[in-house]
Amino acid sequence: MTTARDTVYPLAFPKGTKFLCELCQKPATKICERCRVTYYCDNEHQHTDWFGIHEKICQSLVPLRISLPFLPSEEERRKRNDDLRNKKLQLIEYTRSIAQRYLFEGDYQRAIPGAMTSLKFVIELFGIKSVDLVPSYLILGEASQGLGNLSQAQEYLSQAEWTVTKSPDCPLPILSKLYRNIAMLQISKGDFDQALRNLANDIYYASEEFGTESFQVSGGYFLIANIFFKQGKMDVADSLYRQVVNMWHSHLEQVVGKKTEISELDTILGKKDDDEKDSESLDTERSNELASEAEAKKVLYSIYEIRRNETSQDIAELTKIEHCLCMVHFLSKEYDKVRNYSDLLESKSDLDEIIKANLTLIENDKDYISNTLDLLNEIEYESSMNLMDKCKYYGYVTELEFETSNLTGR
Amino acid sequence: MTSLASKQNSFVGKIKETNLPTKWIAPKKPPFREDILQDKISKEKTLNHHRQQLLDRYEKEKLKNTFKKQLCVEMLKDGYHKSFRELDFILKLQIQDRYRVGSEHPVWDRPLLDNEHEKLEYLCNKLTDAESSERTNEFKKVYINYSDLANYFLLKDDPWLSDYFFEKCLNIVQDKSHNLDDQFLAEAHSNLGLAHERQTTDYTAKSEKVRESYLNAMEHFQECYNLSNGKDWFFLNRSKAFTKNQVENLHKIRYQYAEDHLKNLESPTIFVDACIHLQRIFRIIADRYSPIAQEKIDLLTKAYQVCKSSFIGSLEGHASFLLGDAYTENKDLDTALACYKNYFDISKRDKDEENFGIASEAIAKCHEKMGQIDKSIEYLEKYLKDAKKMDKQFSRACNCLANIYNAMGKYEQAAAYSKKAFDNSRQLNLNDQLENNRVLVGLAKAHANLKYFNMNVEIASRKTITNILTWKYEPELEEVLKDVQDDQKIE
Repeated sequence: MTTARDTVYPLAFPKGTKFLCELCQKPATKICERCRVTYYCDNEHQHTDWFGIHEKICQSLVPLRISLPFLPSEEERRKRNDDLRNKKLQLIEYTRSIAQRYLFEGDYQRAIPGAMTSLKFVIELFGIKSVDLVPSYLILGEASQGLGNLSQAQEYLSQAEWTVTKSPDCPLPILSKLYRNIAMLQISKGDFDQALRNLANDIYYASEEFGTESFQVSGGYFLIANIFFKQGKMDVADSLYRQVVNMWHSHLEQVVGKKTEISELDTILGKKDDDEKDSESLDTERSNELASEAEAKKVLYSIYEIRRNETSQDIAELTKIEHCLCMVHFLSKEYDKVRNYSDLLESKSDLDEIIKANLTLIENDKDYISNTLDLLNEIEYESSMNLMDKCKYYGYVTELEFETSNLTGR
Repeated sequence: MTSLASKQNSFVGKIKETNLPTKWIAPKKPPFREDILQDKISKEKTLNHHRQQLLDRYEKEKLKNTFKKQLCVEMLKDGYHKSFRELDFILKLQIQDRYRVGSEHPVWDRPLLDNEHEKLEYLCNKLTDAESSERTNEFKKVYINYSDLANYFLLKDDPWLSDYFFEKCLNIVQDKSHNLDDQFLAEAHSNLGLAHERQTTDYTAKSEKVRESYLNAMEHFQECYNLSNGKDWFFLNRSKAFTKNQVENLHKIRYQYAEDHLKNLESPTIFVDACIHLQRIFRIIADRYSPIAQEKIDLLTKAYQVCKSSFIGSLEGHASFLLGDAYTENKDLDTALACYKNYFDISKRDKDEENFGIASEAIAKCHEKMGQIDKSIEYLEKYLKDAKKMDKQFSRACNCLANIYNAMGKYEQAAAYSKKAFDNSRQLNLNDQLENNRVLVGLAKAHANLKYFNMNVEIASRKTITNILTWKYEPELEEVLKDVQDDQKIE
């Protein structure tokens, strides 16, 4: 619908002012109704931008773009500038993480506007030669690669690489990400040899930064494993896949452990449920978590598929992956899927009746279910790994019963 | 004449115009040798520059990267992720180790492994070899690679790293799923035991730590002993991985704490090796860390049993001797005597003169303590009869006899034996014993003469005083002092 409110006329602007489209930099004919600071060339671009990023940052753009009144005091002006700068920095982080999340979910079209916005702000803040441009370039490259536009991806990546070579003290995570993306492009081109070299560089930098056992390194290992898998070197691929699963497993266990610990405390101190709010607010930590969850899902599912199609299945490895998946779904609050996997795990063990009984008993308390499920996963996992003797098992169960009785009593 | 003058005129008046150039040009400088060389060099340079191929992107990277990074990238490129993580861990371990020993330690000034390219390269090669054989489930090769690494770093004087790899070897063998022979298990235990023993020499280690190391070493050697008992296993042949010289050095390091006469054993079996080390550790622990006498005796008994099973006579005898000492300390003289007699028999069987002497001396001393002086004298004289005169042990036996006579108050006999000991050591040029024996002779003689001297002083006649004076002038004339008695009787 074209109303008078969202149409602008380029010729009607005052002399010297030009408003350009947010996405393609052509002269604008549209304006966003809500914030009235963002311009577009046509409906299509407005639509893309809205679903990509604008929906989430519409109102935060207003104070940044609106022309501000002159402040007489120097101090006030400086304060305002600092304020704006901080807001921009926050916005850069946020838009980038949103774009990253869309990338992991495979929604490449939606990732582009976010990356573009962050790129624009970085140029505004740091200039055109800064290293801070690189992450945005990388996202754009990955997105265009995902959309099948390889030459465009190549262009973005070489721009990023050029920026990196120009600045010798580039932070290591950026370097690692850059090499990973270049390698991804080379993989899709079929140039495995060079891709391997780049991935080796990626892993080197990542482990310098995060430590060799960190889950951030696992992405590189996963890609290397994929290459060896495609080349038919199954033994190498196998050991690498194992490594990746190990890394994710330890990381997820740690995160889940932290979460359940807090929720136990909360049941005593009083309830605190800020999960719904989190996903929408400008919390970068939370979006980083979301990004890593999405990555974990992608990686673990593909390894799970590969493992299931093997001729001689390694039961222990399979259960480990299932346990990982269970934890990932638990973290992203998809409880029905958690149930699926825990059922799957349960079917492998003999001693499931008691646990199921426990489960139905406390169904109504959501927080506690997640907690129990988690404990249950632990129990199931360990029993299927043949690590647990009966004594220990009963130890767990009595602990469970004790806790449920506490809860119902309260 | 005129013709001549005209000739001269023509010479003087005319100037040759034809050869002179119209424009003056500076003569060409003869080129210097250096200039030619310079020219050649620069030409060569430009030619070379043209001839050079453009560097590949990755070749450029190779030039830019540090050595360590290049190695890591090469490993990761081929999928050796375990080796990469291992390497990273080791490099961090080294820094930890440095901080542990502190900046006063000589190790502090040595370069880090990152900068020792030869070692780093060897390490990487072996690690990747191990990983590739691990992938194909050839755990024997993995074991060999790790033990090669451990030995290599032992030779290169990096004990922290060699200990780390020896432990890794043991872990590999201990994993039941790998199906390795018990022979490797025994070897790994033995190596690790030695590693623990080496840790005791580190002077930064606290005394508690040293004790712990000895106990650990004991455990490992016991395992090794139990595993290899009754089997004739040999150590893995290292000649493939190391040069002859290096193998010899390894052997030297292996037996650095062993007794001197055991240092040059030709390729002992694992069992004998375990015996040699185990009895030594037992002895050390008994010596330093067992204040309770019974505990000490228990340990020494164990050591004796180990020695006995090794069939090395000298070891068995020595252990039996030490056991006897422990019993003597505990005032259990009968058992001690039995132990000494055992020692005596063994050294008699092996015809080991030196030990034979020590044994008879010990038995004599033991008899002496029991109050059976006759028997002890008997033993010693028996020995003196058998012993050759030119033996080191001879003087010791003599000394011992002299001491006994001294204690019994038979000073003259004591003096005679001390003299014998002194002469013996003088003949053999044993400087360390010489002084000692000289003093002993003096003491015995003094004791012998004291009685007569006192007599002389007591009587205090003119003759006795001259006696004393003559003796003082010439101490050799001891007989003069004895004269007194006779004179007195006559008077």
